Amino acid sequence: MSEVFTRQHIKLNLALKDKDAYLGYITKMAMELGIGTEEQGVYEDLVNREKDFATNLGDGIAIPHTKSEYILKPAILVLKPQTEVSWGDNTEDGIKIIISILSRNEQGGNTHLELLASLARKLVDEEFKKKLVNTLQEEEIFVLIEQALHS
Amino acid sequence: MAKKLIALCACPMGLAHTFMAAEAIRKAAVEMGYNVKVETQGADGIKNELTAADIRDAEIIIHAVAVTPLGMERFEGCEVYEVGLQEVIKNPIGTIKEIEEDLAQ
Repeated sequence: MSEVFTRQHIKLNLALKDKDAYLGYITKMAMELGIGTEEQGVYEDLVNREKDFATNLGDGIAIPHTKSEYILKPAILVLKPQTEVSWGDNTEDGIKIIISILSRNEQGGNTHLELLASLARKLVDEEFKKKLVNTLQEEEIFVLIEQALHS
Repeated sequence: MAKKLIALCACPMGLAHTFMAAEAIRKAAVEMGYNVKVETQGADGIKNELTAADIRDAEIIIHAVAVTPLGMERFEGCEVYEVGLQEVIKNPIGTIKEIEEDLAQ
C-alpha cells in the first residue's frame, strides 16, 4: 500500500487545453500510480462531481474530488498548469493549481481519510493557499501538502 | 462565559467542503469570541458529535449542509440557521454577523 501523497503525485508545467483535459490527466495519473481501477469510471465520477457545483475555490485553486468505487486507495494529486485554466461556473479568476482529492467509496474508520480531512481544513488558510498558488518548486509543494495532511 | 456557537457540516462527498466549512466557521467564531463546537459528517464518519447539552446551551446553531445529515432529530424545536457551504467558506464572519443581526431583532 503506497502513500496518500508522494513526489510522484505532483506534475508541474502542464499545458493542457481545458478543464476536461485536466480531469482526464488526473484520471491517467491515478491509473499509472495504481490509485484507480478503471479509467472511464474515475473520469466520469470526477466530471459528475463537477456538475453538482464546480470545485473552484477561488484564489486560483481548484479541488476536483470524488469518492469513487473505481478508486482503490485515498490519494492527493497536485497539478500545475503553465497558464491559468478556466474552471467553469462562478470563475472570476483562472486556476493556477489543481489539488485533486481521491477516495474510495467507503464510510469512516480509515486514518487516511483523516489525513484528507486535515488537508481540506488547511484549504481555508489564506497563507497556505498563497504559498501553494505562487510556488513553482516541486519540493515546496510536497512539503506544504505533506505538512497539511499531518496538521 | 462566552456565548456558544455550534455548527454541523456535511457535503455530498464528505471530502472537502465539509472540512473547509467546519474550519472556516471554527476560526471565525473563535475570532468573534464564541465558544465553538463544529460537528463534521464526512467520509471519515461523524466527528466531534454535538450532544444534547451542546445543542441546549447554544446561542447560535448553524447547519452548513448540502446533504441531509444524520441525527437531525436532535435539532427538533431549535432555531437552526441554514447556510450554504460555499458561502460560509468564503465569508464566515459575514455569515455569523448576519445571524447575530437576525437574533438581535
